[in-house]
Amino acid sequence: MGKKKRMLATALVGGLLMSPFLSMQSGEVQAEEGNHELKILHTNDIHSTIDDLGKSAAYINAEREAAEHSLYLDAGDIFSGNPVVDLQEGEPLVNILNEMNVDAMVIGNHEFDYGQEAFINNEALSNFPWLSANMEVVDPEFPIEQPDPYIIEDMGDFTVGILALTQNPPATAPAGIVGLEFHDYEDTIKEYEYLKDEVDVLIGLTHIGYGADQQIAEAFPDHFDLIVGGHSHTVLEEPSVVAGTPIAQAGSNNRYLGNVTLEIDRETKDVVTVDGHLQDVSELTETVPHIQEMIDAYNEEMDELLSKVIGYTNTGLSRDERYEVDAPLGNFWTDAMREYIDADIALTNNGGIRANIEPGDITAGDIYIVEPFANEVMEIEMTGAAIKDVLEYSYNRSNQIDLQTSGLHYTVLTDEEGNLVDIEMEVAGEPIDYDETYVLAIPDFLGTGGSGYSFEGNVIRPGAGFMTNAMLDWAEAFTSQGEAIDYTSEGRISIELYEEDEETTPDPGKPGKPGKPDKPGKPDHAGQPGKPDFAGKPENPGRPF
Amino acid sequence: MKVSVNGIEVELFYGAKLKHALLKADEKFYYSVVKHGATIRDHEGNRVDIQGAIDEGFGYEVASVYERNRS
Repeated sequence: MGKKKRMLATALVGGLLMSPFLSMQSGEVQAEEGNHELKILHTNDIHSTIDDLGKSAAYINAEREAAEHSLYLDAGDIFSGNPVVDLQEGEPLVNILNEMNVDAMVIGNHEFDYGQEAFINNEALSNFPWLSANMEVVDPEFPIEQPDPYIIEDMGDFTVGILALTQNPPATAPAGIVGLEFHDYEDTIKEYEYLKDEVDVLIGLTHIGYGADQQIAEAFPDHFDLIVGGHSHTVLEEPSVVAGTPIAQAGSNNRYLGNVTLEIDRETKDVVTVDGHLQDVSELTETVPHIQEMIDAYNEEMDELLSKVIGYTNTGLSRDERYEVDAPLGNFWTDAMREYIDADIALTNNGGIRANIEPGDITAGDIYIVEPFANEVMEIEMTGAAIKDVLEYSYNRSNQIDLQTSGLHYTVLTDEEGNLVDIEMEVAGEPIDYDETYVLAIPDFLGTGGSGYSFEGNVIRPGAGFMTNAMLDWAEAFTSQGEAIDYTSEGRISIELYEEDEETTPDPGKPGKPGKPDKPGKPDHAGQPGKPDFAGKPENPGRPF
Repeated sequence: MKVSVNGIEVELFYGAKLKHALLKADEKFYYSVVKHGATIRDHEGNRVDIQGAIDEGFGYEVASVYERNRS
């Protein structure tokens, strides 16, 4: 899309499309001479994408210099998606945004991804406010400060209120939102309904998705003069008008910049027109030199970050025998997943394990090499029977092992041709209870049907954090205690020939309840002396960088 | 949350992303986007990213790669 200006004549309060203050020329709406203009530049869901922010900054600066009045707003989720930023828990991006004169940002669900300490540090580092009207810090001992629900900007000729809404509840790593409550969008808007009378222009800055933006526009017609949204990564090439309320959103990952102009009546201070379009960032050529220097430096640090040693392994972490047994890398991987969300069981598929880790130093880059897909850990409750269905499917796909495991031992019983006859499963040394419900950590790819899997159960959290983060944290747990990250194939998975006369018969029925594994229990790794105890692992160990 | 992908209705968990909807509806939709760059639009015709959150009741269409190349 070029730098084309799509004009939107929006009939706002009281059908102002017919206002004598408007004049129509060449199909475009022209501001009545003397009316004020407010330029809103906006981004959302940047997701750690820094490469073109220098160009975005140059565009924003130029637009703001040419405007009578202007604001730059970000609709949340600035973090998660690029190791350059993520391995430093957000700091590079905040430093860049600090140079871009952001006026306000709504707290998005991914602002919690690096944990609460990083949230506090990043908010403190920011020279712009992090807003949320529906987020409440309920624990007085909680380290995160209650965010402001809104700000009022005095533009001289008029005032602008900006009320912020965060996804309720945020889909994020669970540790990040302990001690916080998130409230209903409509209840929150009602709570701050008085703002409409206190300011000349009211903007909703939201991170709740385009559909939810439409719902609040319908529930509160003509309440907001503009909603600047995010979360659904929707490319609204011009504001969409719902019940008299223009809604703007600019895709994601800094591919587009939103550019909205509000014309404000000089006398009444009412918004009389809204005109908006998106700027394709790939078409920009100018950059802000000092911001570009920052970006280049951060990208150059990438090699150094990825080569950072996070642990040592004597054994190496091999995936080689993954189709026959539990592989050392599969055991490390699933232990990391299981510990990450304190699950009973973790499963991951062989297809997602892309390389071996050789004996010696383990670097952060190794983790991104073995898991290049940015899969997230899904938390799901499943019955023992449903777990068995999944394991049967996993073997039947190619008559070989496909799922690595922690917290669960399983034996595939086959006939002489290698066809599945039955699967025996144990949790905490006891036969699995088909009726018992277990908490599992699985890749979100599998949990939603990838590779034909059907994980029947109750999804607790679809994205509890990146798989890579789970492994980085687990490696840190070893290293912080001076332990090597040593794993072998230890009998979690085996394939055996089914024999008719053996004591174990196929599908033996419901065994007695074995009880769940201890929590926080030590994972399947009892044969590894010196491994850090789960119970001794800090709650949020952070990253080894 | 209920959405449809190319006319296939799927029910997903709270917090699901569009990639989850594509996988649930038919894995080929997912791979046509991540491997071949097919575009996704919501029922209003707006482009949406595969990592974006789904909206309750929305319909999504994954364009064929042929359509993408033609446009």
